[in-house]
Amino acid sequence: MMITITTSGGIGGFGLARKAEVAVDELPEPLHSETCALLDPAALAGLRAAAAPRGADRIVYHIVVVEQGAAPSAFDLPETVLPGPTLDLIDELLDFVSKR
Amino acid sequence: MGCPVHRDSRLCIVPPHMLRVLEMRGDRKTAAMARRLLDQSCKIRDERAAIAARPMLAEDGDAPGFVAEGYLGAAAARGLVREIHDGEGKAALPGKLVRAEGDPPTGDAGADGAYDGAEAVYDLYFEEFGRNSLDGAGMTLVATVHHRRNFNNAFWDGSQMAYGDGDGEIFRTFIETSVIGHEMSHGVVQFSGGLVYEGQSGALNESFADVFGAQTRQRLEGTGACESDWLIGKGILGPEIKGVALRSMKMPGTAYSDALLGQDPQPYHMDFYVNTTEDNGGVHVNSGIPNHAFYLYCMYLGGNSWGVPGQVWYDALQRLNNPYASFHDWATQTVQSAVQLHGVGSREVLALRRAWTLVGLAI
Repeated sequence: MMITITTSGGIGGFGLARKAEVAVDELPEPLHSETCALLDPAALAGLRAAAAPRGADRIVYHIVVVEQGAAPSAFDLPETVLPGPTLDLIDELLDFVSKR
Repeated sequence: MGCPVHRDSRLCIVPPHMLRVLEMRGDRKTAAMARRLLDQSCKIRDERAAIAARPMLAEDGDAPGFVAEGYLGAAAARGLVREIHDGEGKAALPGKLVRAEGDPPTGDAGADGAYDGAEAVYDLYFEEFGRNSLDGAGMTLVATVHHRRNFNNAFWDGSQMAYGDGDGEIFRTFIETSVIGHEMSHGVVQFSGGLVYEGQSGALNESFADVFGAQTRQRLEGTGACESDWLIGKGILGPEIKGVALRSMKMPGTAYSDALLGQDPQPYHMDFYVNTTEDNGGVHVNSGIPNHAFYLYCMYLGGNSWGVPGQVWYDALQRLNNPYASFHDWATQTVQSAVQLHGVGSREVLALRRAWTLVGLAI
């Protein structure tokens, strides 16, 4: 499974996007298991975006999941709908990729 | 609670824009209901009448329903209450309380910077505009520092501020006076009736935050309008980034020009308005236009930005009552406020009209 995570938005608006391409099968444990659980397409599909949440300068995560033999699943998810553990996982994945 | 029992589908016709305003301005119950009804597209008039504490429309010159009490007269006694939390690199908010009101410095630069910055913003609003905290009713100022890991952002979440540490490359910090003022001012906008966070109204929301973030910094540093560099987020960019700040109100479009970040995209005139679907319709981009209008107004009048210009801008926000306001709506409101405060033929009104004209909005 390959996951691509990009970001947009935030206090700066443009130009602050981070991007990470993650080969899930190459992740060490427990990162591998956490990623499979929290960034599974079914899990992401279950995160319904609330209508116009309060707040400002929030980030949007654009997540594309490609499973072997399946069509890509793409999700545009405001950070406000992502649970804390999922956000923490995303941060960990972004760091893991940046250090590779 | 679901939709009221209405067998006639014609009664379920509350338009989405009204539901969005209710979601923005209502208490938690109302906001949740509006969200459900946005999905269901059902009518919620009964619930709106039940929760409204004051009428939304002005009556006989009285201030609209969401004007803070502090605006209607002298503010209550100073009521600064701060709670600074340490997110410890995680997403959960608010995190661990590390400094409550009156506590000594922690020694953590982020926590202590957020603590001091919150006071600077509070003092601006209280001492210059008679507003007791973000909601006008002395709400506790809650902030989280060290939010998430290497997080390149700061935000207002509807009830508190949160500041990342940056990744050290693109951003090195978000604890900077104009940024703190910016995020907290989003709260002031929210509790003053709100501006829908998309398109021109969203850009106005962003601009108000920049305008009062700039005032906070200038007031704290003792800088007059003509001496200030008018930068938002000065010094927060990473050491290798070719730029000086997030944005420039003096010269929109010049804050940075970097291989990684690209060119600062902010326009300074309506002729260069950016039509885009990104960034909620470019709320952080097109804010350059009203930002520049405020800067020009300050240049015409001189003195301090929190003097006549800030008073006009603040008065306009309290009287606007239009969460979907366009740039023209806002500019018109500022002129109306200036007329009310200084008289129809005053220098203050003339200068304001010229400032708006210079950015392409003839009022």
